[in-house]
Amino acid sequence: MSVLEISDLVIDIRSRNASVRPVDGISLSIEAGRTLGLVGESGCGKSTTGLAVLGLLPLGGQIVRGSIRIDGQEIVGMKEAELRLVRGRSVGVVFQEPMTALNPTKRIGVQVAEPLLIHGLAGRADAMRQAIDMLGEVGLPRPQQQAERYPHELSGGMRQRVMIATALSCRPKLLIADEPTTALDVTTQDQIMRLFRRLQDELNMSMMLITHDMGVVAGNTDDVAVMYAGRLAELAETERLYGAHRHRYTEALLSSIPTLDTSRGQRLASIAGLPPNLGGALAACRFAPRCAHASQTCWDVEPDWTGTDRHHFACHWPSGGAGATVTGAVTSQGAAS
Amino acid sequence: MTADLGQVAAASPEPTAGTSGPEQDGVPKRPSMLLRTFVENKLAVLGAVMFLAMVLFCFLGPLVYHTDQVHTSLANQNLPPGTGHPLGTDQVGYDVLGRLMVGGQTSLEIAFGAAVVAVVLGVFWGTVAGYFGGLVDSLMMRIVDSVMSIPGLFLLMFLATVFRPSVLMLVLVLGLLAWLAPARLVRGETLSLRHREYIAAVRVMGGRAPRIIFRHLVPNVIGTIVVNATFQVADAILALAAISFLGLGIPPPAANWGGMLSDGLNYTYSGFWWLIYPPGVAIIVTVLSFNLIGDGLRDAVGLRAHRHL
Amino acid sequence: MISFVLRRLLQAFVVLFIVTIIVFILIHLLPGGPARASLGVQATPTAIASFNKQHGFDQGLLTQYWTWLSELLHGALGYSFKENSTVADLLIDRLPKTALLAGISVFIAVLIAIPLGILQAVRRNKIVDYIATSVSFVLYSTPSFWLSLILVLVFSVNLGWLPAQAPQGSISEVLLQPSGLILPVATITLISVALFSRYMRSTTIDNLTQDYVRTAKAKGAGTARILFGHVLRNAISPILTLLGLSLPFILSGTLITERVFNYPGMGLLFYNAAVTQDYPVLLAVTLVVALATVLGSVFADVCYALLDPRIRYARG
Repeated sequence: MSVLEISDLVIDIRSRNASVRPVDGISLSIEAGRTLGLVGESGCGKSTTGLAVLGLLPLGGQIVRGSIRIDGQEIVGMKEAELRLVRGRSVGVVFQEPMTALNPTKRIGVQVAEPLLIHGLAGRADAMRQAIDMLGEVGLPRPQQQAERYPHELSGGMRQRVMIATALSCRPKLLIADEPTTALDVTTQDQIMRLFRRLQDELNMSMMLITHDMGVVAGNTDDVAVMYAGRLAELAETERLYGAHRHRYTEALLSSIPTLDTSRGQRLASIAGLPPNLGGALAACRFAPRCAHASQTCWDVEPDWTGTDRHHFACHWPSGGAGATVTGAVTSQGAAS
Repeated sequence: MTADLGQVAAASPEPTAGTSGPEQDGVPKRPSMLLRTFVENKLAVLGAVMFLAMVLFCFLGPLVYHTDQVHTSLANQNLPPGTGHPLGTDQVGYDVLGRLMVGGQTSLEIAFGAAVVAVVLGVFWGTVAGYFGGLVDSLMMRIVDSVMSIPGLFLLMFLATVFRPSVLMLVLVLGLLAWLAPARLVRGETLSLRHREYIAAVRVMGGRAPRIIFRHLVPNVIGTIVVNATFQVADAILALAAISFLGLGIPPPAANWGGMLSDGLNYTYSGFWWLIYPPGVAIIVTVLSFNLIGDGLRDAVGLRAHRHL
Repeated sequence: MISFVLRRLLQAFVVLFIVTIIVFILIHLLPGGPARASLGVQATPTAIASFNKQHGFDQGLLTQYWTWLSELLHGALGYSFKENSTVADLLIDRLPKTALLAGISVFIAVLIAIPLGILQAVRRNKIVDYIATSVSFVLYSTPSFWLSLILVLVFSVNLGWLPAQAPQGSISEVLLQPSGLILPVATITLISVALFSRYMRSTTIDNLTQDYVRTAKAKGAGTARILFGHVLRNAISPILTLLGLSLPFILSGTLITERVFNYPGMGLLFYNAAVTQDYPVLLAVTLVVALATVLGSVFADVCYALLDPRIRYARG
């Protein structure tokens, strides 16, 4: 049984005048001990998906349909009181901005120990001891002293480590990391990602790594799910995705990363255009407007979610392979693969 | 249903002291959008309606409903509401309803006058302080702090003792007490503007100081100033009522609401309720209307880009 | 932290200094100048002349200011012929009573406003919030003296439960007649609650939108823990700041309330002095009130610094 299983998740966000659907039919799963990278551009719905797992949708957010199961337990439809038992206990979260995610008026140690106290897993003294241990685990020097400090006294990297310690204090089965290193410099990024890997091994923990950075995903995940405009474009084991990707969006994403081979003066490839406005009219394949290989089919017919056992994608004109996978009328207008 | 704090947490914050500027990405909001936001706010509209009603009542009322507010008529003193006098008469025979109207005129005129004085003086002071910065700014702001340290009512009473109260004097004094807040606001904006990059850009392009101030400062600040001015009027009406109540306002036969209540104080035990409720209600309605309008304006001006969603 | 407090006190000194200058100017605004200010309106020209000579008022303004200031600092606040007592004695008698009235009112107002503001924030835009906000708005727009009159009308005249006049005499005598304090306290409390709860609501809402609340929720914290363990800590210092800064507002309210209820505090003293043109008293009370206000804002800033670890433990 997977630690996390999401099926056909659809989320709406309603404001006074309008309703938007940032997540439109996502299905994925994470096995024990594995890391799934959830990648996509800003606004593609990946953070919303992550937040939904914990029932932390913003005001106006609602799960329209679908299922989220954590260790077999259905999250969708859970009452607030039940959700509180899950949060921090079975699932931990690390957010993007360590600067603001910590309470500025409370000491570090207390904040790390808090989940233990909330879930009644330890008394006050014991919880503090465990918190100090955890701070050491995440790589803070002299954890006992650090525990007495306030957030503003620490650097960004240290604060993120504190956030990680907090998220892990109850030894959750699943850790959701929403852009955990985006606010940090590159060296620190690397350190934090190593820390994640080490802790995962030690705790046999699963992880959902939400990021827009394909580089971060490369060495740090087992599987990757590529999201675009609220839908999944491709889902595969990481190595396969990088080596044998099929969806044109994935292709475009990967080719836009400069590599050591990129020669001086060579223009950086980027994907023309912007992600679609979800409130407006959308093509059947949402990437069609920006895809170099799109045909009229792509505008009219939604591509099937197809593929083999551990590699799925939804594209009419996938790269590197068999060609169109379309039900219904096939038009051979437009570009071939 | 239990309160879901997380949902409240993710909702947009209520604007506090109107410090979020009226610009989006450096462009001042279109007046039509401001107006639309204002109109959507039901309370603000209510305030505007109340205000208009009050203005009509005070300025057009006497044209329709004639009463003598100059000659006393002791034979008619303290009559309860009845024929000829819908709200009764006071202790020198003036018709209460008529007096309410005339008194309202004075209150509104003085309050508006005071707000204008306050804004003009405040904007000038604040701009100079913010523009020059440094020691000049420190000194000017310490002066503001000092005057602010003396509670307005005390200062007002003191000055009313020294100078004989007249409409002009009250306008000036109330204005002098109220200029402090706009000064602070404008100074803050000017200071922050000074450091913003595009001011440097204008300078580099050869723009000169006054141009900088007018083209960039004014749109930014005007929203906050208008909001503040609205509240100033509300405060001025209350201050005026207070000072008149304490007997230090314009002497009779000039009418004003505070003075009417001061008379009412003497007759509380006699149960002459018509001397007490009407002026108070008039004050509350007027001040409330300004507070509602001000609040609505503040929301309209302080909105952020999330409107586009 | 220490340096912060010291800087703040220095600022306060400068402000007070300027206040004395302002008061000095006020004295000289009076027809007849400082002699009038000391001797009162009835003083004869000869008395004024000799007074001027005696106190050196025929000398330059700066010397005058200096003399006046040093006399002030020695506690010589002048003599009130109207009240037949030194101003200092009058203040000693009256100040505690005003402090009592204001103190009790503010205390009760805070006790009501904090939970009310939090409740409004949590139930934002629902019925409870609308009702409370509306009531606050109306109260805030109500002149305090009118509120007092209504209270008197209802509770004294119609129902006869409470006396319409406040207790008289010295502070100890006042304390022996608590029922007379109820209506005055109620007036100031109601006005203050309107202001405080609105502010508490704003602050709480501001805090609830902060990221750290989302983190707390992600840990599984419930509403109570979030409010009292996290938000309140961050919301307290703005409240204390507000308290310190609203001192002028409260003092003004106290002045009017003392007049309505005939409560023998500093406000009533000031009022009587204004009516009888008793300038020494007017000036002295103005100074005292200004001092209180300045101290209040220093208090507000210091509290803010104490409670915010970012300032308390600021590096360097």
